[in-house]
Amino acid sequence: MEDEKIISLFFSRCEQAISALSDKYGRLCYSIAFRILSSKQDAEECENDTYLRVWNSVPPTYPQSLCAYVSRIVRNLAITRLHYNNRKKRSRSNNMDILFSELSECIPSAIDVEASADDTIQNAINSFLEQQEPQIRVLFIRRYFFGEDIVSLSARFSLKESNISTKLNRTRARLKDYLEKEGIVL
Amino acid sequence: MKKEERLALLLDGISDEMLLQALDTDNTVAFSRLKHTRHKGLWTALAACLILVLLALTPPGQVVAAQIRNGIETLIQTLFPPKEVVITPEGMEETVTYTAHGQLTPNELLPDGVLSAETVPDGTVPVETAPDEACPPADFIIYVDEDLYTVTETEETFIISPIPISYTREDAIDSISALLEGLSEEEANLLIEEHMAEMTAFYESLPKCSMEIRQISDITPLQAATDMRSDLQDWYINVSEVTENENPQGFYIRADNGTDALSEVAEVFFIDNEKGGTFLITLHYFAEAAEGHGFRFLSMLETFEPVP
Repeated sequence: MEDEKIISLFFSRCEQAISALSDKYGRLCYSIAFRILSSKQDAEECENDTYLRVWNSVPPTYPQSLCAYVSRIVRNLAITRLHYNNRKKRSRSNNMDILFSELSECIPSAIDVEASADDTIQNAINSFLEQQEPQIRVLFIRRYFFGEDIVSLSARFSLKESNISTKLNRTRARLKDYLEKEGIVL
Repeated sequence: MKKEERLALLLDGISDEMLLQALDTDNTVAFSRLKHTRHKGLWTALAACLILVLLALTPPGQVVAAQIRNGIETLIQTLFPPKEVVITPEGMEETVTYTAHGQLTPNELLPDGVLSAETVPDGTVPVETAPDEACPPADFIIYVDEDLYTVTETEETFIISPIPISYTREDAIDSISALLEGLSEEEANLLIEEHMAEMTAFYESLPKCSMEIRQISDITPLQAATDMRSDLQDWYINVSEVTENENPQGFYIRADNGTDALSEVAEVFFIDNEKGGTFLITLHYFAEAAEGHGFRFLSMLETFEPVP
C-alpha cells in the first residue's frame, strides 16, 4: 500500500492503518529495534510501541516520509529502552556497547562549556553528512542510525570487515574535526 | 545520559532524504553501474581474425588442435587483455581488475573444413573435427574479478564463485579493538579467539554464492526461459514473469525465497548462443548479498560475450 494511503487511514482513524503500517514497515521497525536491543521480546515491544506512537501523532503530524518517520520513532524508543535496561542492569547489548564506544570518538573536545542545543548539533551533523561521498554517507547512516553491525555491513558491501572499520574510523575522525570546527559541544 | 548516547539520539535529526538514500538499496545500485564501455563486435571480429592467423601459421591436424587447446587460456589473455573497471558496489567506488575467461574453441570459430584432412597440407596427421551435432556449443568470453572470485570449469558448466573469506587475527583485532581496551593479554587473546571462531563459523554458514554458465542446445532463449520458470516455481516462493533483458540481451527471470537476510535469490539470464541454443546463466546469492556479490556478478555478466 502506498504511504499516502496508509497516512490517510491514520487521518481517518481507521484501525486498518496499523496493520497496513505493520505490513509495510514492521520488518524494518523490528530489525532496527533488535539491532539496538539484541532482545526479541524488547524489539517486538518497541515495534508495537512505534505503531501506538504513530497512531497518537498522525494526525496532526503528516510525515513527509513515513519510512523515515517510523525509523526515527522506533530507533528513539529502542535507545531509550536500552538506556533503561542498562540502568536497571536488565540486559547488555554488545552491538550497542561497541556502537556507543565508536560514537564517543566523534565527541568534540571541550571543557566546562555549556552544551550546544540539540537542533544546532543536528544541523551540524546533517551538514557534515551532506559533504560526504554518497557511499560513505550510506555506510555511516547504516551503521550509526540503523545500528547495522560490521559483520552485516561486510556481507552487504562485500568488503572485509577491516575495510569497513577503516572507512568508518576515518569518517568518525572527520566528524569529530568538523564538530570541533563548528564549535559544537555535547 | 552519556554524551555518546546523546549523540546517538541526535542522529535522529538526519534528514529524511539521507535516511531514505541509505535504505533505498535499489537506488544505491542504480547510480552504481559499470562505467566502462565495451566493443563487442570489435572484440569478436578481432578474436576470429587472430585465431585464423594463428591457425594458418601453425602445424596441421591434431597437433594443432592440441596446441591450440592448451594455449586457449593464453590466447584469451592475449585477445582479451585484463582491464581496469570502475564499479561501485553499494555505492562505494572501487577500481577492480577484470581478467578474461571463457571458452574458445578454435575449430568452431573457423569456416567449415579448415581443420579437415582435405585442407591439411600434408594430410598425414589424424584430424580432429568439430563434433557432428545439430547444435554445437558456442564459445564465450566473460571478464572475472580474480581478486574476489575463482573460476571452475567442468564439461558442461563454467562457475564463478567467491574466494572464501579468510578471517585473520588482524581482522578480529580491527573489528573488536574497542572491546579489547583495558583487558589483560590473556583476556584479550581469549576474546580474539572467540571472535575469530564466531566469524569463521558465520562466514561458513552463509549460503553459497555463484554465477554458473551453461548451454542448452536446440532451444530458443524464450522457450528455455518459459520452461525454466515452471521449474523455478518448485524451488522458490517468488518467481517473476519472463522479461526481456537489455544487457546481456535476452530474457530474464528472478526468483527468491523472501526478503530475510539469508533468503536465497536466483537470477537467471537466457541468451541466444547464435547456434540454435541458449546460454543459461544463473546467479545464486542471498538477499543480504544483493548489493555485494549480486552486484559484482551483474557487473561481470555485463562483459559476457557469445563468440559465434
